[in-house]
Amino acid sequence: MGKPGRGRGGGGRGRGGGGGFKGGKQVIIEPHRHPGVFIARGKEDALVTKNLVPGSEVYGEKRISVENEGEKIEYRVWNPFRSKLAAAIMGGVDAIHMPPGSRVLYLGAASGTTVSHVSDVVGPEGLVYAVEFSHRSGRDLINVAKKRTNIIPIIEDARHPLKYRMLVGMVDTIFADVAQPDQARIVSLNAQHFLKNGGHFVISIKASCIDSTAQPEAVFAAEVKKLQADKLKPQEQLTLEPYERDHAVVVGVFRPPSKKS
Amino acid sequence: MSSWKKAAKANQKTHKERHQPESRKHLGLLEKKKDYKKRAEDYHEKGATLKLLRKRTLDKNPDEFYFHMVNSRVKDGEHHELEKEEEHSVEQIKLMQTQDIKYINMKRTMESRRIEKLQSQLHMTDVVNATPNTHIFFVDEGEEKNFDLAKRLDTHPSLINRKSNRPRLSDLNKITLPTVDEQVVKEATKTKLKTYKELSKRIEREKQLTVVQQKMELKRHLHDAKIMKPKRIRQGTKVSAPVYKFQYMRKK
Repeated sequence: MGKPGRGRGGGGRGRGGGGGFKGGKQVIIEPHRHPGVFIARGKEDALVTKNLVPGSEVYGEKRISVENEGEKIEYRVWNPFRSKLAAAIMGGVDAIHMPPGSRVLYLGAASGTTVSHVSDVVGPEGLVYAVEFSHRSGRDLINVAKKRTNIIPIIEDARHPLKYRMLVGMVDTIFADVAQPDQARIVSLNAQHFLKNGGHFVISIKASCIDSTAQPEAVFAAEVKKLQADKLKPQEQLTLEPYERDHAVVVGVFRPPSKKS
Repeated sequence: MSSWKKAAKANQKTHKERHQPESRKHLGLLEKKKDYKKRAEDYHEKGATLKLLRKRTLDKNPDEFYFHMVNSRVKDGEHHELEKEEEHSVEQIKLMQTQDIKYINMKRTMESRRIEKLQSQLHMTDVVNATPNTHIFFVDEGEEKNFDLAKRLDTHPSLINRKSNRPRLSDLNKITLPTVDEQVVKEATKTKLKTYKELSKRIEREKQLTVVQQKMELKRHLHDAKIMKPKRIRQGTKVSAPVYKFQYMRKK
C-alpha cells in the first residue's frame, strides 16, 4: 500500500535510452577532418552532415537531432555504401576541397542524394551546380533543389558544357561520378570551361565502367595518365574498400600555380 | 623345421587336379572341395532362412496390422502394389514449387531491405580503420625521399591509423567534445553492438536464403529442360548452388 505511484513508472526503466536520458544525449557528434562533415558516435556509428533544411529529409535517410546548450541541431546520415564521396571520406581521403562557402560543379548528380549532402557541406553561402543527363532522375534532382536553394540543377549532357555555360559560373571544385568510359575527357572539358586555375577536382572511377577486362589498378593508372595530359594534376588516389569493390577516387588540382612565384 | 619343409617342396612332384574320368562321365562333373563348400554354404543358409521364417510364424501376433497389407496384393505368386490415383497433377506440382520459390524470394527481399536499412545507419567505422585500402599520394620529384604521411595529412602521428577521421593539427586544439556520463556511453555502446550483431545475423540469413533460392530455381529449370539434358559444370555445396550449362535454344 505504501508506494502508490511506483507501479507504472518502473516499467520504463528497462528500455534502452530510458531512465532519465534524453534521446539525443546517447549520441556524440565528433567534428570530422573535412569541415561540414561529422561522425555520430555512441548509439549510432554513422557519417553525418548538418542538415541545411532542418525538419526535412531528402531520400528517406535517418536524421539525428542533438541538443547542444539549448539549441537543437539536426544532422542527416550520409550512407557510404551508396555515396562514393562518403566512402572516400570514411576511407581517409586527405581533402575533398568543399569547404563551406565554396562552389562545386557536380557531374553525374543522379537523384541528388549525394548532392544534398554536398549542399549541406558547402552550406548556405556555397553553391552546387548539379548536372544530370537522365530526365527521370533529373526530376528527383529538381525536387531536391526546390528545398535547397544552394543547388542549381542542370538537366544536360555533361559532354557538352557549352549547352549550360550560361548557367554556371567559375567553380572551385569539380566532382565527377559519371561512370562513363570517356570520364576523363568529360572532366577536362568541364574543367576548361568552369574550373578556376588552381581549382580542384574529385573523380570517382569505377574500373568496370572504363574497361571491364583489364586489372582495376591498370585502369586507374591509365585514367590518371589521361588526366595528367589535360593539365589535371593528380594529388592522391584512394580505393573505396570496404564500401565498394574496384572503385577509386582521384583528387587533384587544375593548372596549379608554378612553384617559383 | 619350416625351412627344410620349403626346401623339400622344391623337388616335389606337382600333382595336377584330377577331372572326371571318361568312364564316369555320366555322373556329371567331379565335385571338388571348393564346389562342395559353395553347395554346403547355400544349403545351410536356406536351412537357416526356413528356420527363421518358421520361428516368425510361431511368434506372429494375430492383431498385427500395417497399411502395406491392404495396399498390396499377391497375384500369381508375385507381390504387387495397388495402383493409386495421383493426388497432384504435374501443373499443380509446378505451381506449388513456384509458390515455394516465391515465398523464399519474398523472405530474401525482406532481409535485404532490412540489411540496407541497418547499413544506412551503421557505417562500420572500426571496420574501415582495419580494412586495407590503397592510398596513393602523387608527389613531385625529389619530394618522395622525405615523405611523411602525418605531415602531409597535417595530423598527429597517432591518428594515422584512424582512417575514418584524422582531424587536422590546427583543429585538434579547437575541438570541444561534450562531457558525457560514462554510464550513458556504456549503455549506448551496448545498443550499438547489439545492432551490429543483428546486422551480421541478417547478412548471414540473407546469404542462406540466396543459396536456397538459387537451388530451387535451378531444380525447376532442370525439370523443364527435358529434351537436351544440361551438363553439370560444378557440384552444389552448402554455400553455393550447382552450376549447369544449358543448351542455347531459340525461342522464336
